[in-house]
Amino acid sequence: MNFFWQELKYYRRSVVVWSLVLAIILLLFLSVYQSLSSQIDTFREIISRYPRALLAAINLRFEMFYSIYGYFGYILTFVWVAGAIQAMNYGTSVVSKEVSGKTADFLLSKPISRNRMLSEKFAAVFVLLLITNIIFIAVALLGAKLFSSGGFDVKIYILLAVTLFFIQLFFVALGFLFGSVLPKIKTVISITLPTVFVLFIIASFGGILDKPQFYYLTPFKYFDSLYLYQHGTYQYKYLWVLFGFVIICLITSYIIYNRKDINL
Amino acid sequence: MNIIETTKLSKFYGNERGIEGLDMQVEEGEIFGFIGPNGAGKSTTIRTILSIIHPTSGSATIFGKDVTKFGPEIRENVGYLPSEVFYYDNMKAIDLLRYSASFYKKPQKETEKRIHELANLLDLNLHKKIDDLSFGNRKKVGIIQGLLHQPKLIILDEPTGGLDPLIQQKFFNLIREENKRGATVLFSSHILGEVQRLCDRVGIIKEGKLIEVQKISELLKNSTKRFKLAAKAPIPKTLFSTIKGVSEIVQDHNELNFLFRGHLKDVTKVIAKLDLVNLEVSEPDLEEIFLHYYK
Repeated sequence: MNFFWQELKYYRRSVVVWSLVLAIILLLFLSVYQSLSSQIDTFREIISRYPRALLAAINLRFEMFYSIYGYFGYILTFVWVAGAIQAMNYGTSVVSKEVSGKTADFLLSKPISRNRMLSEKFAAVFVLLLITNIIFIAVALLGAKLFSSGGFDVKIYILLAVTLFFIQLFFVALGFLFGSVLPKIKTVISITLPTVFVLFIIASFGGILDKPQFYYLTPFKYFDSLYLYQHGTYQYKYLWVLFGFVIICLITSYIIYNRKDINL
Repeated sequence: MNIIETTKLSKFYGNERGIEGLDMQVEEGEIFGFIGPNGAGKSTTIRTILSIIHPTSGSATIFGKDVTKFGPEIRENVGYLPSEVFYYDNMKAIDLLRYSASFYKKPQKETEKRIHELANLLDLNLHKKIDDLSFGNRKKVGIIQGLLHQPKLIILDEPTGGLDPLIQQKFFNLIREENKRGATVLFSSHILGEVQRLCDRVGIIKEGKLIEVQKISELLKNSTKRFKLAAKAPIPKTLFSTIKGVSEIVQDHNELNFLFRGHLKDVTKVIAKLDLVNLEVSEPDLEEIFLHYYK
């Protein structure tokens, strides 16, 4: 378990910072909910004048402001983007930093297999994301208690909050694939930022053009807060796509990394 | 038994040659020098047998086990010091070494003791961050990291770069001790003097191919020696030109120069009868032999 603990130690500061960032984004948005909901009619008036395409692009719908879920669902989009960057950074760097830091020679001359190394490293980033999400869900529940007028359904609220974890799972797997497959990555952020934004833009275009077939391409369309609110469950077809994608990414990473020449 | 054995081992990087058809045997208990200039394929060979890179064709075994199939098992008993050492900059030397030790089955007590012994010997401050260590001190961390688990095979890739002569001396003694304890050593270098000092046998690698493997003593013995004789009167050429193994005789006034390869007795018998004012016999060093192969 040496790699596992080593990586947890390596990322311990980062995970605290990211959890704080996500919690602060959430609390800031939630804190304005009360004043928003009290002026819901004025607000509806304003946004009804916006072009439909714009509303679709920024994923904004009237229904959202009727309840804390809708509002939470809306602001989740921003949390997803930040969380996606965090997850993909972890996934990419946990593998690639041994090559970019030229420490791979040291590690690979040790009596461990590459499979064990990858498994422990993935387990470590998985735990880091779990920690992030536990903190996030706790803060989200706390925020809802503080800022929602009236009661709220904890189950739906948690289902909404857990979407961050699924989104992160998608991106950590994608990052892991990039980190294992690409020969040399100088700066992780130059890979992760464009990837996350391209997928986000695809989601926006999918929304504007109203083409649901696009939705499969990007995890940002896998979770619809309105659907979740109405049905009390996820859309499983997307969830299966997500899990399938994660598994394919991981298997490919293992196969390619095992065959790869590690050149510093 | 051969500790390392490669069979037609080849590694190409795309079209670029790394090593080609390398057949090499390193025997148990010896210190094998692996010499050649930069880019000849020394590091490629080492990285291939450690499974850091994969062979294009051919195979290699360590301890009689195929390196591609039994990598982790083999590496349990291998200590490796790469030519350039890179570690996690924000770690302290001691943390890095403990991390390194954690991969081996050796009890922590033993490795911990060994780390401190070696650090004392090499005069390394274990509580400094890797980032703050000089190049030479990082190399010391590398040495300790390679030796702390008392491996049966020690692979050193140009290990002396950055070490001052005093530490180099200590390092050589350390390697000799490990060797006496039973460890086999593969010592790669382009500095012939140190290979000559330390190794039993050498393999000379040129453009990815092993072109010669010999005992150092043989290599030096079999080689040509240069004689420079000076007398009060001219020395007749014919005295020496009839001896088998003498070549390139040049007479310059009272001096006579020639090259000789063979039994020294044949020459000294003749020399003994001369009234010489000066006699110079130059021992070729490994460098000259090496240059001979690289002509």
